[in-house]
Amino acid sequence: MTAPAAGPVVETQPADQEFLRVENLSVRYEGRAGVVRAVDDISFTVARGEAFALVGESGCGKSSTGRAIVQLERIAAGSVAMDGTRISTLHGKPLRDMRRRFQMVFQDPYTSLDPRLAAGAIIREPLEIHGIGDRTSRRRRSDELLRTVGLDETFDQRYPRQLSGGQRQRVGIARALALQPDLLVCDEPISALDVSIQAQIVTLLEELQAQLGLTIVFIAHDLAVVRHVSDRVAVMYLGKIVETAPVDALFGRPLHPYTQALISAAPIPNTRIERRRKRIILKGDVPSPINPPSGCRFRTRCPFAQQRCADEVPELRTASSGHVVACHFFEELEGRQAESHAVLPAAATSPARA
Amino acid sequence: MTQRVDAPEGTAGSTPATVRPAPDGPVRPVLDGPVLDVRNLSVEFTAGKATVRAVRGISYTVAAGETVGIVGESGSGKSASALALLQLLPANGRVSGGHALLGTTDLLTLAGKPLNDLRGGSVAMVYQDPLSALNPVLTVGRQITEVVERHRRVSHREAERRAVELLDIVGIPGAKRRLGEYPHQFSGGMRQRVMIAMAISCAPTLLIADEPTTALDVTVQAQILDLLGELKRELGMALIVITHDLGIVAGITDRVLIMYAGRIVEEGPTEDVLDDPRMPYTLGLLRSVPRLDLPRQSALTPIPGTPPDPTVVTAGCPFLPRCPFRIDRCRAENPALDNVGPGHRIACWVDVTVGAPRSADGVTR
Repeated sequence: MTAPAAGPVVETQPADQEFLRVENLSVRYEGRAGVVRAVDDISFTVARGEAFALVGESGCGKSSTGRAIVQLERIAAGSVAMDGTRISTLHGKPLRDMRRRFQMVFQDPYTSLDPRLAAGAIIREPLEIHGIGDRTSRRRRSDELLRTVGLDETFDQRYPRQLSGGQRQRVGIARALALQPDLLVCDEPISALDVSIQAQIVTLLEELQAQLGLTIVFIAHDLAVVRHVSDRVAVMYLGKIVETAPVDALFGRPLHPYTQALISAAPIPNTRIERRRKRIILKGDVPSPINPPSGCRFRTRCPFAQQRCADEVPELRTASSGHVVACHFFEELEGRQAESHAVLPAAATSPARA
Repeated sequence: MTQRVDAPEGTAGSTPATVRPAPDGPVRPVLDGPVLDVRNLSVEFTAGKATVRAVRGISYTVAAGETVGIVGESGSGKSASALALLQLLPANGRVSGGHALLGTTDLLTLAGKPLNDLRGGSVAMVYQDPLSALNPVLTVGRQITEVVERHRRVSHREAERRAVELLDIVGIPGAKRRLGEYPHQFSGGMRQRVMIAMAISCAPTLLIADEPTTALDVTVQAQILDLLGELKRELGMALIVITHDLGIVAGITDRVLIMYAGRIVEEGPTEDVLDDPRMPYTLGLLRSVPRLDLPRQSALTPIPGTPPDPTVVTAGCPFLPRCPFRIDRCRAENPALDNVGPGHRIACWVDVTVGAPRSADGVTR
């Protein structure tokens, strides 16, 4: 099953800016019921300084992909390359040296921080592991990082249990930034936080990206957040990428029926839109990744599925510059239902004094 | 304009299963007034030596067939206020004041059989996490027939027939076969459907849904919200939806209550509150979420700071430390709810539309 499958990486941006390259990546888990093909032969590239989002519902493989990128998950097949270096085959010191350049921000700030360490020590731990600086300089650096994430040096001695969810997530981000990484993989960084705190963290990540020129892989299920923070988006379903596009193209002209359903299901706090919108209500649940449907994996829930969808796996095909879609029928469908999914960015409404 | 509480006879339509009226159910409240009239409800929790005043004297009504949203963040008291209605607070919580009238019955003073008749009878509840709300060692069928048999004088066979019918109504394919399965054999969305089937089994007057879709994926959330709306229309029941998602509020509620630190800080018809929010907290919430209906580059304005410590009682407005509109008066006095439009009330001293104190005579009382 390790045979390099399918087609080549579909280039969706100029090669000279490429920073991260994921090729034919597969992640599998052995379960009692069989092999879970969490990520199945996906490829994409991310440019330097770009914010790239992986979006999808639970079980689509977005988190496994993120964890595989930072080498927290064993790769079953395929490769991950960063800045031209293939990191998925590195071990020992070369891997450790490379690790400084990619860091992860976790979803749950309650379980991803060591409860026995104070905030300052949590942030200094990566510096100690990598033998960077001495006590004084490390303390100076952790104070600086606390300020960078909107806290201050008085937090140095505060333990995770003494912090709110938002403050913990800030500490998690400071820890991720300690080694001055080039790439930050953020796995649902705000979904465990209260609504009023989410915007604080989103804004912080955006500021950091601008200031530090970070490349960000943003993993999320909330489409409105994804639209806000990312430059390009890949939509995943059952371990496959079904559509990739620059953010405006994805939301302005979603082509895969699954992307359309996702966008149409995202609630909008605007009564005029919510009550007028035509929702695409998908039938049923996501099938098991142990035994995914043949052909197109979305076909069992797709309102437009035909025989060919069961027989033939749809390859990613280019719809326009940088916009690729894995659907046999996206051209026909687009003509057929132009209006039904439109979520009308801008213009359409007069929002609440926003 | 009295709405029928029992399912109207004619709702069968094309669907084979229909929600039938409950001829031998508990006596229904008289429906000239609201279905639910909550007055000055207060809830306290003891946490060690501290007393947490989770709900601080809230009052609201729910009309027959109406959908009311209760919005707030963790610690706002939104869930505690709903659990209190059915006396389902955890052991360290208690109702410390107020009334909750369902017709003429005060729900908060019921005990024994009348209380058990109420729960799952005229008032039913759907919880956020169906996996922990369902009994893992009983089949789904048994859990539904248990409710039906508890509230109706029917044979077991009849209860089973009803269970199949209910699963059918909530859109579970192969209902008859699935009756013998256990909760873990159902997906998250299907489990939530089972909970809804149990909740509507006795055609409740009022259904309380506490974050019913928070644990679900967005496409499944759309299915469940769709189902709730459909059932509400068919059964004519009133619905309270507790949520943190203003998008859900926009889609399914007629009125909305915004809670902060145990109090209602803004309430009104949903479109008025969402289109023309008057309380700085509501305004802050709406400005802090990215929205698919606004230009992508619209800046987010986060609400600074964190929600207040619920064990501390301050004289002034609890939102004050986070409020960009605060004035001196906010420090000294906690504002009461006051009208700013038809049915639209806020607890705030400031007119956010001009950023100046509200003049007492400039508002309709």
